[in-house]
Amino acid sequence: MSSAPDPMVEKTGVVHAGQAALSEALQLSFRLLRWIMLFLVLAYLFSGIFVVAQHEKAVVLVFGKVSGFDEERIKGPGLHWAWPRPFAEVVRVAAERVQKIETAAFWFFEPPLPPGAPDGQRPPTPAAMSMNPERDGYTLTADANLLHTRWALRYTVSEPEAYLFRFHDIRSLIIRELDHAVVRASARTAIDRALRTDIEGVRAEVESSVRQRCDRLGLGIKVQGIDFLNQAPPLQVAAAFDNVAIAASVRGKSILDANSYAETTRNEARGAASRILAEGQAAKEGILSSVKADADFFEKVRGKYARHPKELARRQLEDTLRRVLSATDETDVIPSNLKEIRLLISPTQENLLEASE
Amino acid sequence: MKNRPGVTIVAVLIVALFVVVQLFFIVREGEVAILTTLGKPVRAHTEAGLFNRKPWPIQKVHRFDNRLRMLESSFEETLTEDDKNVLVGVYAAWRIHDPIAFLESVGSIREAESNLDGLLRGSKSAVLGTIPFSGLVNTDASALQFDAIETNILAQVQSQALERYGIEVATVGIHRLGLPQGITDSVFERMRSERNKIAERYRSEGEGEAIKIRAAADSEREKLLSRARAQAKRIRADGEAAAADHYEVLNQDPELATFLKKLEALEEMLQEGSKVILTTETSPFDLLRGGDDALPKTQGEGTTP
Repeated sequence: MSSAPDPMVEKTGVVHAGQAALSEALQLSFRLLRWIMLFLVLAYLFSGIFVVAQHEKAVVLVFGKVSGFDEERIKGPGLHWAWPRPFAEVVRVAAERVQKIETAAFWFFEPPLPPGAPDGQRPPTPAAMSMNPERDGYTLTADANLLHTRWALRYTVSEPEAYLFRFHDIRSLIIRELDHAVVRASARTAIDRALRTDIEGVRAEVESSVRQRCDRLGLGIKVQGIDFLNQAPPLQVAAAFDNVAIAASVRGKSILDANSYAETTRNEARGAASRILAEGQAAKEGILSSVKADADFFEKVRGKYARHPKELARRQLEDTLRRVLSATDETDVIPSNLKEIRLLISPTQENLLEASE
Repeated sequence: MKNRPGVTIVAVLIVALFVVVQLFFIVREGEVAILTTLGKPVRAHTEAGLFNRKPWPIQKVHRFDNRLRMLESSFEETLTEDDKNVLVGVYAAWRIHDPIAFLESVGSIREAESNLDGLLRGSKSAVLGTIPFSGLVNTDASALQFDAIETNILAQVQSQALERYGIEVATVGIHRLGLPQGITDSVFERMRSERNKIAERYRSEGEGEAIKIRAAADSEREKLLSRARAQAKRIRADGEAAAADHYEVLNQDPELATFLKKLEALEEMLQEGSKVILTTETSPFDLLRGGDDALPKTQGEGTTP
C-alpha cells in the first residue's frame, strides 16, 4: 500500500533540520567565543609584563599599596611581571639619571629683547631705578647689600619610594630648599666674598646646607652637587663695582711691578755681591803673587847687590829710566844749575774731555 | 532552554564587578581616605591597600592626597624688633595628620592652604617682631637667628594647624629675604659710596705695598752688597796677612828693598802720556854736562846714582 507523505510530518522534519543547523551554528559561535575569551584572558595576563630600563627603578602598586618586601619593593632594570590594571599599577622613576633644577629666584628681571635687537644687547638699567621685589630677585648679604645670584642643583633619586609617594611636588620643594640655603648663606656672607674672594666657599656652604635639609626631610634624593651659576651686583650700582674691579687690578699691577723690581734688584745685587767677592779673591791672589814675585826678585838681586851694590843700583836705575822715558810722551832735560824753571802746560784734547766729565 | 555557559560567565562577571566596586575601594600610596556613613565620618584609612565599605548611598569615600605639600606665604613687609622694614618669604611643608578632623574643619586642600597661609603669616610677623635686623643679616654667623625664627614659627603654626585643621606641618623655612622697594634707592647710594671707598683703598694699598716691596728689595740689595764688600775686604786682608811672610825676606836688606820698591813705583807712575823734566844730574843725562864729570872715574871712586 502506498500512501502520500503527511504534510505535517514533512513540515516538522524541516523545522528539526533548521533547529539543528541553528544549534550547530550557535555551538560554533560559543566555541569561537570561548577561544576569544581565552585569548583575551591570556592577553590580559601578558599585559602585566613590563621592562624597567637601565636608568630606571620601578615600584608596583597592588591595590594601591607597594608590593613586595624589603629589596623586592623596588624593581631594578630588567623584565618583570605584575598584575595588570586595575589590580596593579607600575610607577617608574629615572633614578639613575642626574636631574638638574635651577632657581632664578635671586636673579634680576630681564625684559624681552626688542624686535630685531641682536642677542645679548639688552637695554641698560638706569642707575636711578629702584629694585622691585615683585619683579627682581636678589639676596641680602651680611653687610646689608643686595646681590643677584643664580644656582642649580643636580640630584639623583636614592629612595624611589619616598621620592614618588611622600611628596606632592618634590621638585618645587627641592627648589625651595635650595632657595632657603642660598638665603642663609648670603645672610652671613659679605658681598665681596660672594662676588670675588670666596665664591667656592659660598657654594660649599649652600651645598652642605641643602644636603642636610634634604636628608632631614627624607626627600629620597642624593644631592650630586650645587652649581653657583652666576653672581652679579645690582645693575644700578654695576659701574661702582666695575670701578672697584679696576682699582683692584691697578693694585695688583702695582704690586706685581714692585715684585718684579724686587726680584730684579735682588738678582742684580746677588750678581754684584758675587763680583765684589770675586774681585776681593782676585786682589788677594794678586797681592800674594805680586809679593811673592817681589820676594823672589829680591832674593835673586840681593846676592849680586851684596857683591857690587853701587853698580847694580845704578844699572837698575838706568834700566828703569830707559823703560820709563821711552814710554813717556815728553822728556825735558834742564841744566842742574838753573835758578828757576817755569812750565807752560798746554793740556791735550783728551785731558780736557776727561776734566769736563 | 539549553544552558549557555559563556553568557552566564559574562553576566556573573558584570554583576561581580558592580558588587566589588560597591563593596571595596582602593587607597593608593600617598593617599588618605575617610569613610562616611550617611555623611558622618566613621573611619579613616591612612595606609594604602584594599578596604571594604557599604554600598552607596550608605557609605561614601572621601580621598585626599596625603603627600607632603609645599605652601609659600606671600613675600610681604614685616617689622623687625628694631623697627626695620624687611620683606620675608616663608614656606611650609605640610600634610594631613588627622583625616577626620581635616575633613570636618576644612574639607579641601585649597581651603586648608588658605587657612594655613593665614597662620603662617601671623606667626611670621609675630616672631620677626622679636628679632633685630642684625639677626637676619650679619657677618658674624653666630649672631644670625634663622634657626630660632624658623623653630618659633614652626612651633606656633604646628600646634594650631594640628589642633584646628588636623594638619601636620613638617618644616618651615625662609626662602626669600629682601627690602622694600623704597629703601633700595638708599641702599644703592650706600653701596656706591662703599665701593668708591674700597676702590680708593685698593689704589692706596697698591701704591703703599709697592713702595714697601721696593724698599725691602733696596734694603736687601744694600745688605747683600755691604756683606760682600766686608767679605771682600776680609779676603784682601787675608791676602795681605799671607803676603807678610814674604815681606820678611825683604828685611834681610831693607835698603835694597826700598830702592827696588822706588824703582817699581817710578815705573808704575810714569806711564804713557807723562811729561818728565830731569836735570843733567840724573844719570845718564849727566853725560850732557860735558867735562870730566861725564868721563868714567878711575876704579874705586864710585858714582852716585
